[in-house]
Amino acid sequence: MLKNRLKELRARYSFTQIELAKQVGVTRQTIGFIEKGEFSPSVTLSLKLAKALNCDINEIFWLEGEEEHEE
Amino acid sequence: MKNDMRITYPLWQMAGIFIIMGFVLLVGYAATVNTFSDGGFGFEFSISGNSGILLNVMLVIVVLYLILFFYNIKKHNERMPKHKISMTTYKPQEYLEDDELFQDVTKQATKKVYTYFAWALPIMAGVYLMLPIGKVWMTVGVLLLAAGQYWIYYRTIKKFISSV
Repeated sequence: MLKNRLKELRARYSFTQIELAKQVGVTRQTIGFIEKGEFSPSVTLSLKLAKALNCDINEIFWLEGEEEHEE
Repeated sequence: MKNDMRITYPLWQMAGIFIIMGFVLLVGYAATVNTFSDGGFGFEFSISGNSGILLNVMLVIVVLYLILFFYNIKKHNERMPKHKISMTTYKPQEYLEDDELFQDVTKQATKKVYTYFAWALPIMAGVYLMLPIGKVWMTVGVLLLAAGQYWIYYRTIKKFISSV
């Protein structure tokens, strides 16, 4: 399962879900579902999110079980 | 999302199907097909007092349905110009394809409908072959099957929308 810290990183820039959604060209619902871990975005969207949050894609997403390895 | 008619569109379709079903039953009981020895056939439509009233009531329902349906489409199109409901496309109006999340939800709902038909159609064909069911009830069965697809689709999307 794909885990993420999108909410945390979004807070870094004080972005609302709507603002981030606008930046990457998706709906607010999509951002919400990604944050809840209920939707795994495509590679394209993941890259767009990484670009919008000015970070590496691995900082946002990682696979469950690899948490310890990452941290 | 509350004012998005694409979500309630399957309910409108179901209502339309139930209206058609009413006509099928009414015509089914009021009409008689006579076959003649020379090979021709005649179609007789007799309306008694009660079925005459029913027919009038149904015609009023159809008019009301159409007025409400097109009024709501107009309102939806004004509110959501980017996601207009158009009668000139083959794509079902209830598809939500705003972005990849919505495409995924639509895919899930469509998958459920496909699974439903994969089971329901052969079962229905088997029942029709085994039991002596008249044309009217066969048609009603087909219409119920069609209504079922919209119900499954609507429930799947509704579940998603209420969790948003």
